[in-house]
Amino acid sequence: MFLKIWSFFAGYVKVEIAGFSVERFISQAVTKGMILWDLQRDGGKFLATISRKDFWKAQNLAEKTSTRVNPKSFHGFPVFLSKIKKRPLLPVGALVFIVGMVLITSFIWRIDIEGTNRINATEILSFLEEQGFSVGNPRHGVAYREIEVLLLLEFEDIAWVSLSITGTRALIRLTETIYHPPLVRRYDAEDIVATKDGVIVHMATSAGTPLFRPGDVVAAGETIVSGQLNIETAEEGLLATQYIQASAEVWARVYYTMQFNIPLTYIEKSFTGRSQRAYSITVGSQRFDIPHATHNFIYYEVIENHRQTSIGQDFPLPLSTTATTYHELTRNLRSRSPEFAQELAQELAARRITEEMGDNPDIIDKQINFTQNHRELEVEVFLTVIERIDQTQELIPETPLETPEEAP
Amino acid sequence: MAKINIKRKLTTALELPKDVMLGLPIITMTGDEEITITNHKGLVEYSAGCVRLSTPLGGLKIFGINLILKEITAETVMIAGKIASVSWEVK
Repeated sequence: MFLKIWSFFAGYVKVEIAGFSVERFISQAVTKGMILWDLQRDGGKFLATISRKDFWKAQNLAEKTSTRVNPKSFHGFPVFLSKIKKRPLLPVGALVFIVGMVLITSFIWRIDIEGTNRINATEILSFLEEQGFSVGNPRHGVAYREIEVLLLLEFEDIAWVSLSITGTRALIRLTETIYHPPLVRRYDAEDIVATKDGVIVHMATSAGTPLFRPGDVVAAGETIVSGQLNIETAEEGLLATQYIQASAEVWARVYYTMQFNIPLTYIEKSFTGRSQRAYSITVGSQRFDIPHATHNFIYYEVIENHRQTSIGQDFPLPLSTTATTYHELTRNLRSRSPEFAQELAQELAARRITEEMGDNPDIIDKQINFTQNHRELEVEVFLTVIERIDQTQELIPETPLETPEEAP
Repeated sequence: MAKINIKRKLTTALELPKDVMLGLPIITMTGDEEITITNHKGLVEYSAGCVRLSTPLGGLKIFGINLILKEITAETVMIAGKIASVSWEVK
């Protein structure tokens, strides 16, 4: 290996050795300190490789041993240099290329964010852009700590953040805080009020004065359990009034109505299988279309495949290619049978119930009414659901609350 | 001869390297693909099937197929190819 590296830089010659006693020539040559390698017999001749310096010495020796050493080809760095001398633009081009590469790789061309779950990565990127850190910034002289602190101050949900730059790629790794439910403010005195209209089916009061009973109809906002306690006796009447935090679980039958329409005709899209592809190159923020592919589809769907060029994984460059594929579509007017429309309405109703009431609402009655006209099916869904309707609300006493005096 | 014997005995007694003290050749083979001979005294014959070398112990013959002298210097010869046999020529 060392011989090959050394011989490349010193230059070497592939020679053809012929004559009466080639072995004698080789023995004498190596005795005189010359090095030969890759020696092989080719019929009556010998092919060998010899260093450029030794080649001229070998010529003198060949005369003494009645052999001929004919050069076949010259190789190595000196030959490369002599070729470059004939083509001066080649080193200039190489230099321009190297300088260009150094320049282009001294900027940040991609910012990746890892570890986001609740926080939107786009929000972080826009915030960083406002703060002057974005794609295209020089990668040297970045105030890492300052950016990390800015992110921690701006986003309360970030518990830990780290910014690192490898190559032309900036990586922001973060850990979000553990989700904590919003704090519920408690007052000194509270009523339990209804959140929805309904008929009370069950209520369990642990503190406060109930104002309704099971079977009563209650409207949203009405006080169900009062935090005002009147202490009274039959003989002496009202003795005192206390204001407490009322506590109760109230379950009620709540009625819901949903209305929506299912059209009896619809447009079905289907791919014809024909597609056209167009390419474009984006340099920085400038996009250049390669105008060879056009399409004449009336209806089509577009799929864009975007690829950023990169040297290895850590050196993304501001050059990307986009392959845009246009898939031709046909649009056909189709009609639904009323039965199919009703099935669809059932599915849609179930989906909307899940969306609005969660996965397992306690539905005790469901009625769906259909009204059909020539264009659509009008759907009306009536639901009876048993659910909790209690909510605490601040109670403002008629007389100010007395602060209990501290014992001396 | 007596001088050589004394040198050999002394080398053996003092456990000195024989290749250095007596100039004996060292032959290293890598499978049947490569053979390196250090302390040779010159190339006597070379063809694709046979390489004959002169050494302080006498002639050394290497037989094989497609033999190439990968490197030859004043001290070392490295031969590559399919080596079939290595033998000493009796003096």
